[in-house]
Order: sequence, then C-alpha cells, then structure tokens
Amino acid sequence: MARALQRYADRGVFRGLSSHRGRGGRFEFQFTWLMRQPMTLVYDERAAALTFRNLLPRVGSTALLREELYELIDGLSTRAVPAHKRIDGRRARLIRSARGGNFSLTLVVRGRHHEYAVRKGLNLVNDLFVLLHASYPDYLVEQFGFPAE
Amino acid sequence: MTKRDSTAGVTRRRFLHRAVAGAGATAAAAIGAKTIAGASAADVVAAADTAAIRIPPEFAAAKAAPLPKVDFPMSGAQLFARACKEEGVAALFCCPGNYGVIHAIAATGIPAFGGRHEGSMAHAADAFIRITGELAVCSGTEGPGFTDMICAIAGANAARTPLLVVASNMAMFQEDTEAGIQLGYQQPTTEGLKKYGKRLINPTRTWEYAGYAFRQLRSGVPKPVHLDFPAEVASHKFNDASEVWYFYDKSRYRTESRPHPSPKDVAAAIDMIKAAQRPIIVSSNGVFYAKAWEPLKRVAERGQIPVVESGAMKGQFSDASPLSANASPTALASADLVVLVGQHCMPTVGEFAFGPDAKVIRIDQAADDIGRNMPIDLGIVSCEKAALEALADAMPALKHDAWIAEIAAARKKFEDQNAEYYKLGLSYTDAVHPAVIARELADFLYKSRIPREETTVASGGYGIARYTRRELRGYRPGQIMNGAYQYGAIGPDVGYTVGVAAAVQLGVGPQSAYRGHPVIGITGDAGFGYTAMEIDTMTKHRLPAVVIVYNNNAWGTWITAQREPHALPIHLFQENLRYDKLAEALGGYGEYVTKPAEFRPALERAYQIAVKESRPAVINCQGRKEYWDRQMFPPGSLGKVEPGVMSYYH
Repeated sequence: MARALQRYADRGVFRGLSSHRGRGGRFEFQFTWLMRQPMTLVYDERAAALTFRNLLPRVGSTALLREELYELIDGLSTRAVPAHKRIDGRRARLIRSARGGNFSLTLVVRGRHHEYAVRKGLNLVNDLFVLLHASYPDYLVEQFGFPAE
Repeated sequence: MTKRDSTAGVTRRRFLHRAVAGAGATAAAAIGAKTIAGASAADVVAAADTAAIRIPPEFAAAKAAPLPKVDFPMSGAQLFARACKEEGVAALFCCPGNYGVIHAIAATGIPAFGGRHEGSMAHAADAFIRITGELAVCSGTEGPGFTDMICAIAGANAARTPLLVVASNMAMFQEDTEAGIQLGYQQPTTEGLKKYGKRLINPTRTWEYAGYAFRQLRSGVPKPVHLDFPAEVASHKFNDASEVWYFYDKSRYRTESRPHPSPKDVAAAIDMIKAAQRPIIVSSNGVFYAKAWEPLKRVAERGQIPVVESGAMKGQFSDASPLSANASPTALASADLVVLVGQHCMPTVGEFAFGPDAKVIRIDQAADDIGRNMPIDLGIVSCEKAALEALADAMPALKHDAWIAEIAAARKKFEDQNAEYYKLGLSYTDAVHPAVIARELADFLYKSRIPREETTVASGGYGIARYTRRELRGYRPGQIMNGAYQYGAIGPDVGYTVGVAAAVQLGVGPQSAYRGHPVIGITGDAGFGYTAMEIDTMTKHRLPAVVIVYNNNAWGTWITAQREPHALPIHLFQENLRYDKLAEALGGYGEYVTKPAEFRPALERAYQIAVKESRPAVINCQGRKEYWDRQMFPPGSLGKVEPGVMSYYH
C-alpha cells in the first residue's frame, strides 16, 4: 500500500506524503493532490479496507450533488463505462457513504490487489473532482477554497 | 426586441432624408439615422432637429491618401516606424498621444485604429495577435495613457501574447524633476508583465533596440515587449543612415531558425505513444504561433490520437474531426499518455482533468520551463512545428478505436447535457436564459446558411461564458479568441472584439479567407461597462461585429454575496439597463431581447446589419441574476473542465 502511494509521490502527482499508524492499527496516509488541503487515506489492515475519509465534506446539504456522485460511482460496476474504468469486484469492492453529510469512499481489497485498489481509488477520486469542477464549482469554492472566478 | 415605431408621423425614410441633409451632403457616411429604428416618436422628432451621427470624411480621405515616402533625413519615431513596417507589424491600436511614433507608424501604411481608451485598444491589439499570429502594436501617451494599458499588458502577458507596447515618456532632460505633467517611470511599472522592456535613451541605438524588441517578439515563448520613448529619441533627427547604429536588415539581427527535437527524444516519444492505449495531444498557444496545425493533423490522424485544445485561441485542430476531444470532458481522465504541445501557460497538478496515472510528454521551446508545475516523463525542447513534423514523419499507423469510441461517447454525453440545459433554458420564459443564447448562437454559426468556418468569435463574459463556451466550436485556426484566458479580466471583451473585427476586416493570417465577414463578441453586462465606448471605435472604422451582452443586472459575483445584505448592492447594477440604446447612441445598431424566442431573430437582424452596413450591433439580452442559482433555476452557474471547450484558466 505504502509503496503504491509512494510511487505517486515520486512521480510528482502528490505533494508530500506522510504516514503514521493511527488508532486500531490503522495506517493513515496524508498527501496534497487535487486541492490545497491534504487528503487523508486510511488503510485498515484487518478489514483490508482503504478509505478516503471525509473526502467531500457536507455533501448532504446538496441532494443533487450526492445523487450525481453516487450515480458516477455506481456506474463503475456496470458496462455503461469503458472496461478500463470498471472496478473488478474480484479485486476490490467499492463502498460509498455520506455519514453525517460527509462523503467517504472505501475500497475493500480482495486478496493481494492493494496496488489495484489504490490505483482505482485515486482515479475515481480524480473523476469525482472532474464532476465537481464541471457542475458544482460553488461547492469547491465553499468547501475547499477554490478561486471563485 | 426593439420595437419599431411608425406612428410618429415621421417616417424612417423621411427622417433619414432630413438627417442626412442636415448633416450636409458630404462624402461622410451618415449612420445615426439608422439608429432611429429603436427610438420613440418623441426621440425621432427631437433627433430630426439635430445632426445625424456620421463618420467624418477624413476617414475615407485617409484611406485614399497616398503614403508619404519617408527617407533620410528622418526622425527617431520614423526610424522606429520603419522597423515596424519591415518586421511586418500588421496593425496599430492606440489613442492620441505618443504622437511622433503613432503618426509615423500610420504613415508607413500599417493599418491604424484609434479608440476611446488606451486599455481597450491594447486589449484589441492582444486579441488581434491571438487570432492572426501576426504582430500588432499598441500605444499610449506618457503617464495616464501608459498606465491605462496596464491591465491589457498583464492580460497579454498571462496569455503569452507577443504584444508590442510603445509609449511616449516625456523628455530625458526633465527626468526626476516633476516639471510639467505626466512623468513616470514606465519600465518598473511593467515589471513582471513583459518579456523585455527598455526605455530608449540613445537615439542612435533606436534601430538596434527595435531589433532587441523584435528578437523577443519573434522567438521562443512570446510575451509583451514594452518600449518607452523620451522626446529626445522620438524627435531626434537623423540626417542619413550613417548616424544610426547597427542599421541593417532584420535578417542580420535575428534568425528564423528554430530549435528542432533530438532524434533520440522523437524516438522515445514514439515508443511512449506506441505503448499507450489512450494517448491524447493537448494543442495550445505554441501550435498556433508556430502555424503547426498541418503537422498536428498528420500526427493525430496517423497515430489515431485525439486532440484537445487549451490556450488563448482555439481552432488549430478542427472540431469537425472525430479525433477532436474538445467537447469530451468526461473522457479526459481516461488518457494514459498526455502530449502537451506548446502549452506555454502550465497548469498545476489537478487543474487539468487527466488522471494520476497519465504519463506526460511536454514539447516546448523553453527548456527552462519544461517540468514546471506538471511533472514530466519526457521533455522535448523544440519548436512546436518542428517537433510535430518529426513526430508525424516517425509515427507508425496506429489504431485506438476503443479510445476514439470513448471520446465519441463522452462527446455525446456532453452534447446531451447541453441539449438538456437548452430545454431547461427555454422553459424559463420571463427573461432570456444563457443556455438559450449559447445554443441558438451555435446553431446560427454552425448549422445555418453561414459556413461553419466563417465566423470568428471573441469569446468573453463571465457567467454567460460558462454556457457559450460549451457550445462554441473551432473549425479552423484562429476561429475563437479565448478572452478571459488565464488573467481573467472581466472588462476587455468589447476591446477584444475591436481587435478580432479588425483582424477579420483586414484578412490577416488565418483570417484571410474570411476577410470582411462579421464577427461575434460575447460579454456580460459587467464586462460591457468597461469598454462599451469602443462601439464608437467599431462604428467609425466600419468593423462589423455583433456584440451579445448578457444583461442580468448584476456582477457575476452576486451569488456569493447573497448572504451579505450590507455588501450585496456592491454586486448589483440598475435593472433593465438599455445597452442597445447605448449602441445606437454611438452609431451602432441595437436590439433588446427579453424573451427566449426573440433572440434568434434579433441575431439574424443584427448579423444582416453587420453584413450590409459594416457596423457593429449590440444585442442586449435581458436575463435574470437568479439564473445562477441552481436551487431556483437549475442548472444554475456552471463550472468548467480543462482542457477543451470550457477551458480558460490554462
């Protein structure tokens, strides 16, 4: 897991990558990528779960946004998207949640497909931000301080 | 829509007759009479007692006058003007001031456009260059005239435009004294906004420094060059050529030679392209300025590689091609190899939609910029044209059918979304929704009797642009001038339209095949307020432009200020302002559109006025500021995905 993330840092995709062991033996990775604020990625070894925790805060206030995010994510398990974008359920299972209005994304890794899960997770996060840039610029301004103009 | 009043007892024909007669039977073109079309009966009667708006006969006389033969003895200003002429400067945009220099430039036959504000005219020069690839010069007088140009210089700098800025700057003998007025240190003022600048202090080196300027303008990654002329230089008298240092042909002070890619780099790039399943080319400014659209097409077609555009102008790769990915935003993240060609203004990671696994090749003339902001897997230092020619020659025939199908599917999805927005827009009948303007403008430009390649567009505005950009397409180089590109100034749009219209009127560079055709300018009510007086400039220079003003009674920023009752008025204008009447008052044609169904007919009429009378029109589209509110009027204010049709940051 750490190696897979480190490769993105080495390629200059991430700015800064730090990790520490958190509660319950979970690994917490932090890096800056698509916004000014660092992103947190938690890996729970026991559950083999990779979670972008609170990736998108306060999405609950915009039902339409939440619906669109879910539609995009759910589509990745269907033939509606090109094969290279699909998430292979034999290698990772995708779970989305909006607990307390904050959107998180989890990939449960099957077998030893950790690198796959990291790659799919990051590409999905990129897709989610493309959606936000296209249709919800106000959300990016309010939640992440993107320029209003 | 403007209502035509025929009840006043003063017919249009009768008014025309009286107005023209009143103005005197001169060679001047009377144009004000036509503006009466939108006037009330009282206005007509009142106007009938006054002289019509007209273009002074001096404009026609200037066109007919033979050019003076300028030779030694000549002034410093004339010497510099000769350098401009020999370098092929294609137009001058200015206001009065810096008299020696602008008069000398005009006397060389370089088309000269005088406007109302130095800033607007500098924006015009910037736009002219962005859609022709040729050089233009803007000028202002010392002090205020010069500082009026600062926003435009900054915009041109951000857009990487080779804009030549000249300004007079008092006399050296008065330096530091504050004697008289308008003194100022110009060069420090443009620090950070230019590629090169110089206050000329030695008349004998005028030609030499012109060489410095043109070397910078004509090579590498362009940016503005700023020269300021003290009186001692502009008015210096040279008796003969021996008094001018380094006075020789441009072929001796600069070269047309360009850096070519190393064969090793080309081979490495080909290997990466062959290994990629979903490669994409990002074509930007450098492709346009290097006039590299033919090799770009060859590379794309040979390798079956999609092309997406970014930059200060669009159209170097036709949107008619199935390989165009400009309107396929949701596919961009699938690319596994991105070839950036001439992307002078570099995004940072995350600003372009490409995913984290995409490899990056960057082709650029500036080795010192490759690797900035976006990490590379391969950098190629080369002129864009040379690199694309080398790649085209080395490219094997490749197939990426699945990838092209994905691009096509994304395009359809995007177009379906646009159609949905249009349908929503039509359902709002109390004013004109921007989605209606965007779609119907696109239908008019690309699906009517006008050839889709014909009309050049100055794409501006803030909120309206979020809709119009989605529908505008480029079918040939220089068809779209991307107004807000990078610097994001709100106000230059009418100034930009002057430059675009001038370029098309003159048929410069890629505009040559479309010479004389009307152009379209797009702006908002906020933007229009800054440079609206240039409607007069377009009228007097007979520049046929249709300026679409999206009038929603507010700055585009009002939506974020809604919860600030004390500050909210800062973001608002008077409601229902009549920008169409302002256009009429300046000799242009005006239409006021308040319902969706009125837009297309108004556009047809305005376009016909532009065609038949070679004068500008303003279509004042009455919208509502609340249309930016997604909850009240979905889809509300839209965002953007870069690169592609929506891009304007990079």
